[in-house]
Amino acid sequence: MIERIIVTVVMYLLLVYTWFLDKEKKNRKDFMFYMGLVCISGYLSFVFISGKAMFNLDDLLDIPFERPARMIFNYFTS
Amino acid sequence: MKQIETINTLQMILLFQAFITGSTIINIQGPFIGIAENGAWISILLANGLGAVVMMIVLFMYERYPTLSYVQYTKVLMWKPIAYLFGISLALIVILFTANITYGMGQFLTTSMLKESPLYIFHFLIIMVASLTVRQGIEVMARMFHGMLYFLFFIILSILVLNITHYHPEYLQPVLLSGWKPVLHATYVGIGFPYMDIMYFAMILPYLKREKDKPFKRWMYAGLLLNGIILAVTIIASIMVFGPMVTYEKFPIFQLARIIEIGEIIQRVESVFGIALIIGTYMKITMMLFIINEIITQLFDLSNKRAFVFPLGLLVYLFSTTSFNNEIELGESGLIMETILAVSLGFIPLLIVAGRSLVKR
Amino acid sequence: MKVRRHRRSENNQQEDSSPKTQLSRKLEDNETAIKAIFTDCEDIIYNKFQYSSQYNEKALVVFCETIVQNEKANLLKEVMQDLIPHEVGNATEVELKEIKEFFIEHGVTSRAVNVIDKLEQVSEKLLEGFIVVMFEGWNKALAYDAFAVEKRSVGEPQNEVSVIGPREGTIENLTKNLGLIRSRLKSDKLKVKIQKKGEQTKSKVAYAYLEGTVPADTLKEFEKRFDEINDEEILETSYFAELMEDSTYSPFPQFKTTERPDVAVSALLGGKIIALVDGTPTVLICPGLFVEFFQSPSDYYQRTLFSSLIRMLRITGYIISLSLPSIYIALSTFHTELIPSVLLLAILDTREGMPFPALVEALIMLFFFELLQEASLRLPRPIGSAVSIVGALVIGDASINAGIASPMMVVVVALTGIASFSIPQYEFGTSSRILRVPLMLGAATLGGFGLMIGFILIYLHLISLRSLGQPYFAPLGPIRNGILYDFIFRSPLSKQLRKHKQSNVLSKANEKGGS
Repeated sequence: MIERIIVTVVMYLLLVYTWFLDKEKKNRKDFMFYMGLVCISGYLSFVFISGKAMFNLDDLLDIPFERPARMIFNYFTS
Repeated sequence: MKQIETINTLQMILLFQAFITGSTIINIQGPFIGIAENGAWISILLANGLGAVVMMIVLFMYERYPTLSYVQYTKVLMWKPIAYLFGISLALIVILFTANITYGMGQFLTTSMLKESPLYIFHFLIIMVASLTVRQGIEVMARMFHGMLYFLFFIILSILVLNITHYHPEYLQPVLLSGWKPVLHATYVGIGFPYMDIMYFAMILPYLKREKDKPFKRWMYAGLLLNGIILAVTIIASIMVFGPMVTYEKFPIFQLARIIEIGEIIQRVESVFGIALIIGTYMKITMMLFIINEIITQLFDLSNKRAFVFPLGLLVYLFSTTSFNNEIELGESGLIMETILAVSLGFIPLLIVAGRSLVKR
Repeated sequence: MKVRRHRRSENNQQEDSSPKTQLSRKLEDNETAIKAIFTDCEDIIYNKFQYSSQYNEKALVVFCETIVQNEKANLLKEVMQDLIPHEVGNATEVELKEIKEFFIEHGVTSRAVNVIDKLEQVSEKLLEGFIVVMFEGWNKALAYDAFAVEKRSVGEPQNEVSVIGPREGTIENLTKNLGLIRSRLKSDKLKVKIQKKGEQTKSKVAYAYLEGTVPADTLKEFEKRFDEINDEEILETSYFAELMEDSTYSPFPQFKTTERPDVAVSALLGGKIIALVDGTPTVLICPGLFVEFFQSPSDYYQRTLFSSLIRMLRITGYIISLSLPSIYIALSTFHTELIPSVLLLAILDTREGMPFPALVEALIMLFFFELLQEASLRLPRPIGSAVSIVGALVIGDASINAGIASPMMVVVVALTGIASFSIPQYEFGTSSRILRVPLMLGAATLGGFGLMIGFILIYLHLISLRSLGQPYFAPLGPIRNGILYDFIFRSPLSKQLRKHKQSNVLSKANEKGGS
């Protein structure tokens, strides 16, 4: 767990560094999106560090598509 | 770079080759042979054919709108909310697939070469290098991958040729042991990965600087066919060497590299080849990251493209380490979910947009 | 040496037409004014003379004796002697009026003379090594060029020795260097531009190019950057390199340097721009591309087959110098199966009882080697050979016996060091010395994967690097047809001479629109 925290910290430091590099032309919309992405990353970092299996992208996409996919799979392997 | 970057025809064709061949050369044999056994090479060729259909649509749209990428002409052609829906769903699946590819590479490294290290270090390094490359722009990427592609092809060729003494052609028979169903199943999987990626490449096509007399489209089809043949040959080679044991190997091409033996000196050289194969994955991840960047910045009209590379890379990294809890989930994501996701969230919107553009004319 | 920037001085030394700076008719005033400028400069000599029939006309000769060495002639006498055959009869009958008339009407003089009338011109000319002659009653002065400082003689440069070929090298004087180059390239298309840069140093700098061969946009870019250098004091051509570089923090040099005029001439013929500074023999060749750093002057004087093989040797040497320690660490720690078994047994045998892991051992050995390299630059000659023997013993034998290093590691480090000297350009070899260590760290942490990441990052940097706007990695980056001929093989001259119409690599890069 400690290594995961270290890696996460390093990643965020890199992110801050590149934010400073690209600082000049940040209008409001860009900034909102940037922060939005950082927030999602924040949630995912929490999932990463804790190592648990929480709600995630593939779970999100599973909701509509899992049953048809399994039906097709079963069709082929029957 | 202040001017709009363009790349020439040769570079675009080679970029496409790197994109299609990059990560598939390692990952394709295991699942396909697992599903279709000796008929896997037929599946890949069939999937290649279906990929050509996708390519046809993509190139048709490119002819219509040579300077617009998929997201841009979707926004032009469709009603705004629908365009956003298509764009966001495309972004979601591309991010998921990139995370999938990265995890696949991490899996490759930990099962074959560097067994003790934790996965996330590899993911981090490769995504960091890929993000740095994307930041430099498509021109630098095209120049880099030019040389790396030649290197990759040389390595693949070496693996195939240096194993000549180990081939047993009799393992190829019987071809259709369980009938056509497994072959069709593998073809179905093959549409999701790798051949739907052709559609994502539509985001890169507008960077082409069109030169008048150079035939571009036929070289793209030729490249696609070449890719199909290479993959089929690697599948055939794996079957010929390992026979029925091949279903136990997770990465047959790596095992092929492992058994190369020339005299006393060149043996167990799989690390060298493993590194070369990883370079293919690196190229694919870099281009996928570039595509994600393009999709998001064009969809939401964001002005500073370079700045978004790192946050998106970070996002992909975190997805790659958290989405799949173990190998089985990764396998399921690739085998079961990927095709239907790609077709419904990628191909069907493409068909709708293409149909709409036909109607409009 | 520090380069100090000066803001433009605000006192009126730059103004031209203030009456204060005009020379006056009275010799006393002029003398006082010059002495006021040059207070405490005791190497400025003031010689007073009297001439004319009754020795009643006064004249003053001023010069700086440290830069006008070897000048035994009295120039005032020469002035007189100029006048005699043309104008006047006896030397004792020369009058000031006649002198004035003679020089204002630009009479034929035996030496080139400038007529100046401003005080700051006088001080400028004095510092450039001119002898200034002033007359009582005339508000102008005469200045004769008499610059003479001890110079080195033209000999072979020590760092660029060639087995066959000319043995001339450039020296510290700009005029003589340009002469060495012009005498080899007698074309009117060789354009030379000379300027003065720097407030305090006022060094003469020059750049030259062959019109029609140099690509136009390279020239424009060069001139743009050259003109932007205004405030810096230029002491050496490498200052130019640093001020005009695309990327100051890159380990790779973006300009070539040479001290041989034949190398400069062949660079000019290849469409490059050369830059020179008065006071240093180094000639800067811009732009410098990656593949050119592997070419040495003797490549073209020797036979094609041999020089192609030697060039391949150099390329291999560079790769070894860059990556051999890291490959060794990666192989011996992570991928032991790659090493043939017999060798592996030998390595493992010698690594028994080593206190440090391979990375630390390699770092220690490399550190010793670098220290030795740096120290040997400053050795006084008598103890030079003794110290190098001691160095070899310390690094080699003693460390093995003390248990700090294994023999294999010593071999690796020695081979790396030797390979780093095989590169013709010293500055380029330093890039491999810098990049070795991060590669070693990468290899030690993640084995082959870390090594691969390091190589990809270096490759990425090389591809995105530009030298004066040209892609640095040009025939290898976007792979072009010329790769074999220019990089790996040394193509025969018959194929080369056809390319001298237009510079090959650069113009192709420009044609295709910068890809």
